[in-house]
Order: sequence, then C-alpha cells, then structure tokens
Amino acid sequence: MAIASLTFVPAVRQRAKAVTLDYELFETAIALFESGKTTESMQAVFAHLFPDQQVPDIATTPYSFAQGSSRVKVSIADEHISIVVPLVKLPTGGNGIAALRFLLTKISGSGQLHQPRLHGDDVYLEFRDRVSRMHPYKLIEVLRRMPIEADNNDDWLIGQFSALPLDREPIPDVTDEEFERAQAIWAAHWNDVEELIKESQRKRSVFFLNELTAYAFYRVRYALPLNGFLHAKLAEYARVFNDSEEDPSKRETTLSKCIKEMKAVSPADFRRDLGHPTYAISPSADGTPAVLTSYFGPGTYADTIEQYRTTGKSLEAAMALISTYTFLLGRYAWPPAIEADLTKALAAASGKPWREVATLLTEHGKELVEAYGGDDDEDDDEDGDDAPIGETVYDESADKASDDDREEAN
Amino acid sequence: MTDSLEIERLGVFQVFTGGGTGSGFLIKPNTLVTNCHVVAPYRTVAVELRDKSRVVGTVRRIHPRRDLAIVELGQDLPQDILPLASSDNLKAKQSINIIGFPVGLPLSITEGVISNPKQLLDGQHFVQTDAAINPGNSGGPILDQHKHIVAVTTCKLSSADMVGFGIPGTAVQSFVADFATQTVEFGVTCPSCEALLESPERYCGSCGSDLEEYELAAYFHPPEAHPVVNFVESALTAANIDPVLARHGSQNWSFYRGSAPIKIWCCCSEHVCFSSTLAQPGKQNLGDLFRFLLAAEHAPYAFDLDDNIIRLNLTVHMSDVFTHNDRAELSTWIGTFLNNADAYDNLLIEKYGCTPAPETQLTFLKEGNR
Repeated sequence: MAIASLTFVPAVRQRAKAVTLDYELFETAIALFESGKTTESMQAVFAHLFPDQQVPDIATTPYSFAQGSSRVKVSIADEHISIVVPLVKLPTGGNGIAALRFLLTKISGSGQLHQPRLHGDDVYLEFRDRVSRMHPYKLIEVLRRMPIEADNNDDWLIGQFSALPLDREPIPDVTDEEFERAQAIWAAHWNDVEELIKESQRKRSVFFLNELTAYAFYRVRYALPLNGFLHAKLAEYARVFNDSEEDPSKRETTLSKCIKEMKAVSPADFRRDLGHPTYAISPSADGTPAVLTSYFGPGTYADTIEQYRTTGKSLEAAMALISTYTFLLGRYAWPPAIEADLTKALAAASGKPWREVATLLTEHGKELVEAYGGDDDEDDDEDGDDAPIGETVYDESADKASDDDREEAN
Repeated sequence: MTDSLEIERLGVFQVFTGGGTGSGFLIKPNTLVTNCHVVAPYRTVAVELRDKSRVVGTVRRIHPRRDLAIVELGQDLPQDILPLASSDNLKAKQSINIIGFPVGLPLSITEGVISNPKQLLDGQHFVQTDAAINPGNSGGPILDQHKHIVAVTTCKLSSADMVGFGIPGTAVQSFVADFATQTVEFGVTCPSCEALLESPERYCGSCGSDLEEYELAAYFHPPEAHPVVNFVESALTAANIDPVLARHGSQNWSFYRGSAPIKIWCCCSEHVCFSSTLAQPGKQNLGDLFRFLLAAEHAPYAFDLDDNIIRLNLTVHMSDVFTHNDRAELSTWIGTFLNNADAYDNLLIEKYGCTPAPETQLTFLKEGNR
C-alpha cells in the first residue's frame, strides 16, 4: 500500500547554541590589520569568532579549540602563525596506499589554503603563514574550513581504510533514553524513504526525486546526532543521490543501496556513532530572511509547488514542503523563534494526509515569509561544511535571456 | 576539401590576450588578420605556434566597426598563407569551411554552406553561414572550395541555431590594402569613412564624424589592469616569464616552464590558484610516491591527484593581492613554484616510475623538436 503520511517527532540531536557574532569586532580586526597591527588584528578575529571563550594572548600562548572530532591547535612562532588539526595515523599495507590516495585525491587540492601534510605516519591538516600576511578574511577562512574538513574526513579514513585516530576530541555519548528515541527515528525514517522511493520510481519525476533525496539526508542530519563512520557513509551516498546533475537512475539506485545498508546497521554500531560533539564555530550556515523568502516567497519554486497542489498532485507538493522544512532545519542555524515555528509546522503536519499537509505548509510558508522573510543576498555560508551535498538541492537557476541576441564568437 | 594532415600546414593560429582567445590567419609570413574584438584593447597579444610555444604579436591596425585587426608578429612563420579572395561572387548554398580554435580546442574545421552571401545587419553586409561557429572561432578564416579566404568569422546569433556570420572577403581585402600604406605604429580605421586615425580625436579629420560613441580612446590607451593581473604579472616578470605570452583570457594564464605546463586562475573571489600537471603515477612503489607527495617539507606547495594526474599547487589568498605586506616573499614563492614544477616532473618519472601527464612536453622535448 502506498505511503499515506509522514510522522514528525522531535529531534534527538542537540541544536547548536545560537551565538551572535560581533561584526563590529571583525571590522576592528580589519582596521587593525590595515594599520599594521597584525597580531592585535588576529586577537580581534579570535574574539569575534569565539565570543563565549576566553582566548589567551595568542602571540605568546598556544590556543586550542574543538570542532566536532577535530582538535584545532593555533600557535605563533618566528613571526609565523601555524594552525594544525591532527587527522589520522596511517594504516599499514594496502589500506595505507588507499588512504594516501584518498588524501591526495579528496583532501589535497588547489583553491584551498590548508593541505594535508605527512609527518612520519601521522597526517595533519596544516596551514602556516607569516603573521604580517594574516588578513582577517584569510584567518577566518582557515579557522572555519580546515577543522570542518578534518571533522568530515577523519571517520571515513578510520572506518574505510583502518587508519588510527590521532589526537581526536572525544564526543560525549547519548543517554539510553536518547538512544531509544534515535533508534525509533532511524528505523521509521528508512522505512518511509523506502516507500517513497517506490513512489519516485512510479512517478519518474526528477522534481520528486530531488525532494525525496534532500529529505532522506537532511531528516537524519536534523534529527539525529549521527557522527563517525556511519555519518561519513551516509554523506558519501548523499553526494550521489543528492546531486541534481547526476543521472536520475543512478541517484535512485544509490539511494536504494543506501537504504538497504542503513537499515542493516546493528544497534551497537548505530550507538557507537551517536554522540553530542562540541563545535566552537557553528557548523551550520546562518539562516537568513533571504533564505526563507527564496523557498516560500514568490518565485519558480513556490509556483511549482502550488501547481502540484492545485492539480491534484498532493504528494509531490507535500513532499516538497516537508523536504524544504526539514532541509532548512538541517542545513541552517535559526534564531529560536524561527526554529520553533518551523518545527511547530512540521509537528502540525505530522501524520496528516498529503493534501492537508500541502495546504497547511503552503499557508504556513507564506506566514513565515511575512513574519521573518527578507531579500538580503547573504544567503550562503562561508564554511562550506556540506558543500558536496547541499548546495544544489534546489537549483532554481535558469538561463536569462540576453538583451543582445548577437554574440561574438571569440 | 581539406584533410586533417593539411590543416596543420595552414597559416591559422590561436590568439591569446588577457581578455580571451580567438583565431587569426596569416596574410604575410609575419602578419596576421583577426577580429578587433579578439585583440582589443590590448596592443600586444600572444600567438601560439604548433609546438605550443608562443610569439608576441603587436596590434598595428584595428577597424572597430568592421571588427578587423592586423597583428604583426615578431618572427616569420612557415605555414601556408591562404589567398584572400573577393566575396562578390559568393552564392547561397555554396560550400564553405570554417577553420579555427573553437572553445580552445586544437585547430578544427567545420563544414557548412553559405546561407546568404550578403546579409544586412546593423547597416553592414555579412556572409551568413550555417557552419558551426563557437567561442574561439572569431577571427578565423572562412574558406571556399578552392581554399580561398572569402570571409572572416565574427559572430553568431545566440538565440538561433546555425546562424553565423563572416566579414566579407572584399571588406577584408580593402582593410588589408589600407594597412599596406600605414606608416604609423598603430592606427584605428574611422568607422564612418575608413580613413586612418592616428590619435583618439573626437571628430574624424577626414569626414568630420563625431566619434564619441565609439570610445576610441580605449584603443589608444588601454585601461589600467586589475590588481590581480598586476600581482600575477609582476611575479611572472620577476620569474623571467613574459606576461603577454602567458595570458589566456581574463585573469587566466597558461604557459610552459621548461617541460611543465603552468596554469594560473582565480577559482573564486578568494583565491588565486597556481597549478601544474606533472605526471601520472606508475604501477609500482605507489606507497613511496604518495608519501613523497604528501611530505610536509613541500609547504607552502602541495601535490594532489586530479583524475590520476599529479599536480603541484600553490594557493594565494586574495587579501595578499590587495595588501603589500611581505610581497617580495610571495613573489619568491611563485618563482620557486615555477622552478619546482619544471624539476618535479622529471623527478617523478625518473625516481618514482611515473609516466608523463598528457599535457607535459617532456616527450616532445626529448625528441628535440623544439
């Protein structure tokens, strides 16, 4: 029998504490840099980025902070700043070569300031530069991107290639009660997705597939404190099934394989990869008024949903709306009032027939835009923490007609 | 009409500037015709030869309205010079071939017919064709079945299929004839009367036309370069690389340092990337090779594997371009990057059993063809 509704239950994952960054302090850092006070400028960047922490005088005292499983170490010596994150210790044998190739293929690269570096068998992500060249933009980029890169890859290296952990930040376990709730969410989620993929195959609609795959990944990301190799595996699958430029058949096949594998995870393995990591810098992008407007405000996306809703395709419309709400919660950090509003709407839609869900969330989306929407253009994050997965979930880009029909052929 | 072997012999070359790339063809061993929009506003351009080396070309004359330019090269080239023919007797449905470097690909030929030999657009006649025209074809020749140049590729309609245009051969002949009498270093053809303008006057001295709308001053005094361009090109100059020969479009550079191909580009608003494809891993000793590539001692440079090709990379943050703190050290980094790239491809092959990457010139150089 076809799936008739989706059930929403509150998340086990602890939401990152909302931190308001002082951008005046960041501007001060730029002014200090431009006046040649480079060490003071760096200190101001740290104060801006870590408002809740007592950052020591970094010119004289090394500083360390946790970003998920990554332990980031910052130190200054000989007029150079060094920012280092231990990644893994290499395994021996064939796995070692595969791990090295993975590092060279997936983590090294052009267009990034940090790189993996080998010291004996130990792999670190490293950045080193002269203090006098540490413009605040450069420092922020390294502090945001490098630890996330390490956090995203260390579990894969350990789980896939038997690399050994290297000076990792411990992640506190979930409680027994949290584990039970997480198990229920996990089982229900993959059952739901399994049913929904049958709908996708029936409908042969890329729109529906886009919505389903986003839901498959972001529902977990929002609801469960999943880390470790299991999270890395899911992210690896999501890179394919969530890629709107990939062949739809391949995406469906990958999602099916993912469902099968996720359903087969033993309770012990599942529990091993649950935990509540600490992030000194929020790993989520900031939710902004423009983000809300881009999904629920007037435009192609809202029009498409409305067209489905008003032409008897309630499942498509409801799936798109549930997926969007889940994506917004999983992808972005919101002010408490907006987050409460988003979850309240999903709770209200829980267990209801598709038609009711579509109407309810369409109306709610409009109210959200009215209450909190806006049109600033800062709707993207700098950290790129899930750039391989999330950026093209809803690709609303379209070719624009040219004013001048004639184009030069150079 | 023209087989693949002959194509290499034809005097058709790729033209590179800091604005893009296009095609051009020889009218004398040291003189090339191309489009004005391919070269402007640059006064020096690079022309790539068959062996991938480049020579500097000096822009001597441009015709902004007719979209033509004449470039004088620093040396004679041995390729065949195709005759420039009149377009007066062209007929609809007559077969033609377009030769050039579409989308930066090596010299290519496309076939088609003349759709209209005298199509009127914006007050000028063009040869309209259905042959495929792509970015990079601009300035290349359109040949008739006798291998005569009957038009010069200039543009196409983006909203239509197979509607491309060439500047009629007769207009090109007239432009070349005018240039033959030019004695000044650089001149612009008046858009109204086609007289030679030697300076950016507002009113043409011959016909009195107001030339304000053509903004001719930009052709005589090219605009100041972007800071990224200044940054990269001063580092290249310090490393004894002629920036003109390295340019490959807007804020892009490509050239060889010895046997290593070097590419420089802005991958985003935050980074200037330097990269060189060096070699492909062999089948033995991969552990040793990969450990060497990841060794900490290579900093600030880093190797990666891009589709199983080993690259050497250096990333410069945009803030370094706009501030001048310790700029000399950065310039040294860039110079060392170039030298390392040239040295490492040999090292990787000789010590670690790698094979040359498709783009390197190692094999070519060993054969002594350069």
